[in-house]
Amino acid sequence: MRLNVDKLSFSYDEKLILSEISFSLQGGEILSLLGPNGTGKTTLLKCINRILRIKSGDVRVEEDSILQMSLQELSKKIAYVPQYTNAVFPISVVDTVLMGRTPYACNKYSKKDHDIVFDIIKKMELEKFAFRYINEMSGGERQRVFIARALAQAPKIIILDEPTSSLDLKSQLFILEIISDLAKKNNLSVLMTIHDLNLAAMFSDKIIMLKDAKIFSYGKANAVLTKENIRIMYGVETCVSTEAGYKHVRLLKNIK
Amino acid sequence: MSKTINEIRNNYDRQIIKKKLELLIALLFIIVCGVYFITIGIKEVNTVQVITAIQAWAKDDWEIGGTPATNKIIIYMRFPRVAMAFFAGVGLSIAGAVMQSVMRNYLVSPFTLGISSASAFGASICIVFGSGLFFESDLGIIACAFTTAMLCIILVFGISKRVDLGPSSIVLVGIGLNYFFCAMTATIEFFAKEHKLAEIVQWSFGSFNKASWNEVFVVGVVITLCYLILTKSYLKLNVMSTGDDELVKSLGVNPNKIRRLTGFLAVLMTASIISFSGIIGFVGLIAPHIARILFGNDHRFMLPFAGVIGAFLLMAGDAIGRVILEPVIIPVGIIVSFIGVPLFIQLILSNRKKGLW
Amino acid sequence: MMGKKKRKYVLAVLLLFIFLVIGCTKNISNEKNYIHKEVTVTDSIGRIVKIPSHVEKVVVFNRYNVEAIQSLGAIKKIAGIDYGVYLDKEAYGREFNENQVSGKNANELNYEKIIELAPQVVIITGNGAWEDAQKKLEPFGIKVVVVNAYYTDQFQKTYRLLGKVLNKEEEAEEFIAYFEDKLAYIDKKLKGVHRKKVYYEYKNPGTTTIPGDYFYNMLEVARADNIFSDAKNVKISLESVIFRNPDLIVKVGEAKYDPKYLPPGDAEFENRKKNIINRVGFEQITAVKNDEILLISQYAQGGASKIIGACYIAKFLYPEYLPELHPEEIFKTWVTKYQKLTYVGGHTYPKFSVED
Repeated sequence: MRLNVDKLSFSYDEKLILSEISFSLQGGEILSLLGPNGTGKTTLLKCINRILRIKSGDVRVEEDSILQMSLQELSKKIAYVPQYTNAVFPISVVDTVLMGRTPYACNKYSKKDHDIVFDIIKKMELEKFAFRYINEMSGGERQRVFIARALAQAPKIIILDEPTSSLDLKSQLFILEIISDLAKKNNLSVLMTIHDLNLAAMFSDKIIMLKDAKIFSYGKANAVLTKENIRIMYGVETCVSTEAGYKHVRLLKNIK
Repeated sequence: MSKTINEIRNNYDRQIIKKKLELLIALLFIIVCGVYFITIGIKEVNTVQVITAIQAWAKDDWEIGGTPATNKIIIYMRFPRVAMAFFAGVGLSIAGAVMQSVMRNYLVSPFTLGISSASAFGASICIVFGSGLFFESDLGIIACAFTTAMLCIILVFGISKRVDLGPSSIVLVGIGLNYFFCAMTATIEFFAKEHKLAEIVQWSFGSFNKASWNEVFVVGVVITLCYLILTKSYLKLNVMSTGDDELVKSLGVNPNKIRRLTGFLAVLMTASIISFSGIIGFVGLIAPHIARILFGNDHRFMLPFAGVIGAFLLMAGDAIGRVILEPVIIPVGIIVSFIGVPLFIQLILSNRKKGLW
Repeated sequence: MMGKKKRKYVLAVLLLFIFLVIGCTKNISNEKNYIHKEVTVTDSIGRIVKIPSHVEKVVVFNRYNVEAIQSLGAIKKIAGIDYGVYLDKEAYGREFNENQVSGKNANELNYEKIIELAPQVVIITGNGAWEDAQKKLEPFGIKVVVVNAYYTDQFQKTYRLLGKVLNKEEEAEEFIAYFEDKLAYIDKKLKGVHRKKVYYEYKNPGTTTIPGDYFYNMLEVARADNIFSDAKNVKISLESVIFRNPDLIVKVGEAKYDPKYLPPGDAEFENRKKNIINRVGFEQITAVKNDEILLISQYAQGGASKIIGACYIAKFLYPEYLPELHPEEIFKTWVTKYQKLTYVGGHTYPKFSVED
């Protein structure tokens, strides 16, 4: 499903964090947000799924503005996976993933809800954790569970904040491969923030670079990831080459 | 060991069925307990006499069974007392459970947020200063208790929104408010004359001594209605208790709306119970805690279990209070505190160990 | 899970324990039939109550009421009392046992016990749970009569009411006549006499009496000028006592002491006096400088709706005006004739002899 962001602005306590951000995301596309810490990447994500209230501009899913939708409607279309999750009251993995069906369930979960959830647990290879409590799991393991929960929402658009930051190498690839797979097969649109430039290069269709509250660069992944852009954005010297069809970034040195 | 997804699913379904069965057993258990506690008192009665008494009341013929005074004691004294303990236990524990869920804090309960004392204060204003048909009726007292209790919870929610308070700090604020409202009630005592003063002074430790069928009816209706409304929000409460506000919103649940609803219902239940029974602390803290340990955090099962545990605690506490220093009756609030205070301290210590604040 | 199973067993054991504790229950009692002839009385707060014309059994709350009934010679009709009365075993150990305790005090009634004792009437004070008692005992045919024997200015009403309820009307008139005589004497002799400034303290430091309070009238009868008659509440600051500078101090009872028939003893009285005169700033008070301090035990002060207290205080304030008032002798009569107990002196400090 198509996501259209139109001149979105957001400020916090008089400080302008995002200024007239515009882009669009097609069905089946993976769009990565890049930028150093504090540039408003997470804020942009939270504006799009209405956790934060935007100051001006609009966000549309197909033709419908998110501002006109109820929270429940919106959660059937957009799912969100935050960077950090904590848990006060213990709950099992199965029950956590089941919560993803809340927008659809009224008072109780139906058989269809259970079908969807157990299918996702299988796909995400969470079988051996099924009855563990999420507050007894490591951050990385918990991340997988929350992605599973987001998928249980059967969204058309999924928003992830640093989905790979607390995972080991194998898990990083595992998650991104699943997301990529779902994007292609189910026409899922993916918007995510990510630190690792190489992973971004491998898995993204498009990339946005944010700087000074504005979009610094926006376009196809290979086009955006250039030595000059990286120098201006991050203040580091790199060597960028193309291998196996993706850009490959090698760090050289820090620019004073 | 790898399990197939079908095995897991079957396991899950079995667990659900097991929980439903346990709930059914718990409900039957509490009914049996209720009858047992009716037989406790100065005069030893047995189950047969209880049934005889019910028959006598139904046919309006107290002579059935040849023991009219016993029949009347059972119907007019024991029964309403146990029934009031039941509803008070259910109401206070459910109020505590939902408050804990929406505030994501083990230590929250009607007592530790100051709502119980605020209710007592409102009720005492009504009793001492109220005049006219409404304010001298049961509903008038509940209305006043509810108003002051709502003020208290708005204050607590407001402070916790403005200032980023950790779980223990919120409870500190609540306990501070507890003392504040107790002091206000003590001030009212200065203005109260004789008879009315006596009525409100009895409140610091709750008791079911004055329970009559009218009051049981009012409280029972309130608790039942509030509980039925809460059953519609089981899944939303699950979501609230296991994530922060952002995550909750992303699942389509409006956290503020749910907080307002549960706050309102919890305060209404608390106010109506406190208005007639005085301040009974810790039930709203202990019962949900035990329910969570034994039956998990799924509100579909945890809430009714908490209700059952709370009802049992108060019915047993009342029975113990009636029997242990017979014929002096020890208020149920005192008995419950003996279990409640050590558990409260243990909760704080164990949560500190888990690094939750 | 292992932890869960263990906890469920702990719960089961806890449940068992609770049931064991409750497993101490009491005996069965009998039913009683009640006499049907009735008479109407107006009680101390104006309620009109229909009671049996021959009341043989009452349950009484509040010590003043029990003492009043004792004065009328009807103590045998008392089937149940409150815990406070039961505790004074020296005074009431012969009359009452543990099984007759019907509640902690006038606000915490044990209704099942009352029903077990099967009285015809429950006598309770206006500041007690009479409204609730009326509701609860109505299905059992037990009447509730409110009697405020602690009000000095209502003592005639009180005794006539009790006389009517317990068929001791003659005894009531005799009692009233005896004490009315004493009160008339005090009134006659003290007419127009300049009032002396008195600070009255009850039990706790800083607790005095004000108009409408239980003890105020006692001081009025003794024609004292209560330095706190303008206060809005009985709890005053000790500093204000120093500023108002009373000529005399009267203290009744002591914090945490219950009224007892046996006197507190000289050592205890000395202690109480020291507690007063050693208070910061009190050495400036006229009453302390002139050693005009009277201590009375709660038991003595409360006798005969506090008329005994009034007599002691009146004589302490104006001994020269009341040569024929002998409070110790009145107290002795109260204890021996009306309370049917052995007279034990020393309930005041300084002591009054029988001739004073």
